[in-house]
Amino acid sequence: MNLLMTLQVVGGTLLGLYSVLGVSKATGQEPVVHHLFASMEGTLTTAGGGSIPIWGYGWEEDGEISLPAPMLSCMEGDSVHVVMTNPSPESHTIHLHGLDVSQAHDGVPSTSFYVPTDSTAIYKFRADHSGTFLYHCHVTTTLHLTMGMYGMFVVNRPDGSLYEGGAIPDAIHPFLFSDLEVATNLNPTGAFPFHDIRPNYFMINGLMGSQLTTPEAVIHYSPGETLALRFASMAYSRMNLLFPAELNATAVMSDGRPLPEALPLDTLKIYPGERFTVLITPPSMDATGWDGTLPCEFHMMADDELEYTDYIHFNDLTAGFEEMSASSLVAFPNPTTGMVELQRIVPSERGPWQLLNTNGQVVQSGMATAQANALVLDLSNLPAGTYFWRDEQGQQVKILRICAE
Amino acid sequence: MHMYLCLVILLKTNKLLCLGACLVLTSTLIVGQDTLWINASTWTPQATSMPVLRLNDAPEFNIKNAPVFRSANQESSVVIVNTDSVEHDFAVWAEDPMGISSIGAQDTLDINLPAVAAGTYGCGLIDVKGRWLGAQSLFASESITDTLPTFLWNLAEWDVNRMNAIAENGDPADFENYIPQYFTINEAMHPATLEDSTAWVTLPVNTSALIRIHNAGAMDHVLHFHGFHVSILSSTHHPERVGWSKDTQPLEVNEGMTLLLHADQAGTYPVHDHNLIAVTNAGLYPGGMLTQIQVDP
Repeated sequence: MNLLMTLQVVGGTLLGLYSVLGVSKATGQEPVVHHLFASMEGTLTTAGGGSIPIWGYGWEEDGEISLPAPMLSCMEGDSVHVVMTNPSPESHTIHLHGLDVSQAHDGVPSTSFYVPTDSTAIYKFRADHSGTFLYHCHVTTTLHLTMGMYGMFVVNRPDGSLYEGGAIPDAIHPFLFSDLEVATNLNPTGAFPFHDIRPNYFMINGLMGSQLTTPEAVIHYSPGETLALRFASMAYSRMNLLFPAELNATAVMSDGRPLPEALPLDTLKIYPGERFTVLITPPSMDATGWDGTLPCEFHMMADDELEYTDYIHFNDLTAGFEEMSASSLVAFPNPTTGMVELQRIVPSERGPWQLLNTNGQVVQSGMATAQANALVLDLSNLPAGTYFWRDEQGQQVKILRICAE
Repeated sequence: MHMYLCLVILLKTNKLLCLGACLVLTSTLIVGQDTLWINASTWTPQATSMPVLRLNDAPEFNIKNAPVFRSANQESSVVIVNTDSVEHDFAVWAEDPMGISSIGAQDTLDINLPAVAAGTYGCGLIDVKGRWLGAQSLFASESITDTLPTFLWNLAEWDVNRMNAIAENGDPADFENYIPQYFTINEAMHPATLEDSTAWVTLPVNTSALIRIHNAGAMDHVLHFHGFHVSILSSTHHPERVGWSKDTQPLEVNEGMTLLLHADQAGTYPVHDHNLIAVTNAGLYPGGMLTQIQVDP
């Protein structure tokens, strides 16, 4: 029995006890704290409206678990505390996959500790590297993962770059691939033998099929933008991502480290536990005829058989619109920290307008009067990012990109 | 032995690298075994038995295939003694075999081995029985600068039903699903991996080691390192990945790879296949393709 197990048994709760073990490379700054709880009573709603039992993690304040578990994040250099309460009837842990934490906080029962029923523990580490990581339970891992106990952990940089000296994308989108075998989830106590788990539900961010086509799941973009796609896999399958040539896809990071050289991609294999960050510059759908999908194949590891193909869907916000040229409507200042004036409004552009975010949601709307040559917008209450002003006067639908800082 | 004059004789045991006393006569090295035996037997890892073939460095059957060591960029030779009752085909491979030699039943053959760049490759039998019954090992092509402690992981998985059928002249194509029951590092399943000093990595903190890996299985494997990222020094199938730093590293079928581990924190950290069906023994967790890195303070 090691020190941690002794503390666990004697103390009943581990909260607060780990300070004696220290955190490697701690800076003394205030830690970022995430409060999770583990549960074995959750459901996943399928595209057909059915329910599959899952285990997982959720925000403690919400009281509900999700698949995947909540995405955790921090800034590079942060000290991080992940507090996990376990009211469920079995022990669980959190393994911080790829974050190279110390043995004491590694989440492997045999080398660190369990979090038994009705106990709380803190996992501590310092996020030395930006990038895409994972967390998952490491108790009877083969079973607890197929039941759904996993999520993403993303380490960002304050300046928005992917890594020191790396690209600053216009937007970053996370994608977590996973799968499950329904029979196992329906009867986890009868799941043996584990060597023959054959998944039959295949998910991207916990969604499948038509669930990936909803406005919330679709990636909205404007041509010319550079998007960073953070891919991670907790699947039992191997992924094959088939990048259309129009996306100009290049891998720039893997497993939380920059690649020595960007790697142009047409197909990217992602194995269980791997992560990649890929830059794309999706084109105008009108100009190229690209259908706005990125096929994601799930292949059986044992025999390489193609099990399922799902799709990441993209929406070109300018599709069907005419993007304004600099010679007509202009926005000043752009980028803006608050107020922005749209100048040189011509009669055909007067009338109703909308301001959309990159998810395609209308965040402001109004009316340009018949006499207006200019229009002032207040973006000070909006999050930093790219917005699109859309004039919908008659058939002259136009769009202008505005950056809020 | 061979036609070479010796500068250095490197004697390899499982873990020990002995730099022998040398006379500087030429710039040529002789490294590793001069004779390998193809041995047949049965293996009973748990309740069920299966026929197996092994590439051993002694006439007696050993469940572990013998890793083969040679100097980088130099041709060499090896004597293969086939103690089995059928002919087998031997090769060294990167992505593809580099020359194939057939050794008749109960025959002995002196085979030329190719000169390959420093790195980790595969070698062994590539005929149906030889491959599926497991006579495939790791081929270490060593540079004279490879002075770090070196660990050797030959990965494989074992489908008992298929092996029994192939031993009876069955065709692997007759099987719809590949469902291995056992997953091994150096032909051992966890916890026996922790009794193998070439599979269980031990080193002092703030030191480095080489880990040579070959996937002798019929399916891809993906190794996840707890506690550390490792640097890819060589890969037969993905040379574009040389220089990458990874914590989760796939190895395709027949792929050889050399990794550099720098142990910058003390402790005991698992390394395992993250295809989690492979950390089981006949379906029971934990087991299979699971070992540890132990870094002493």
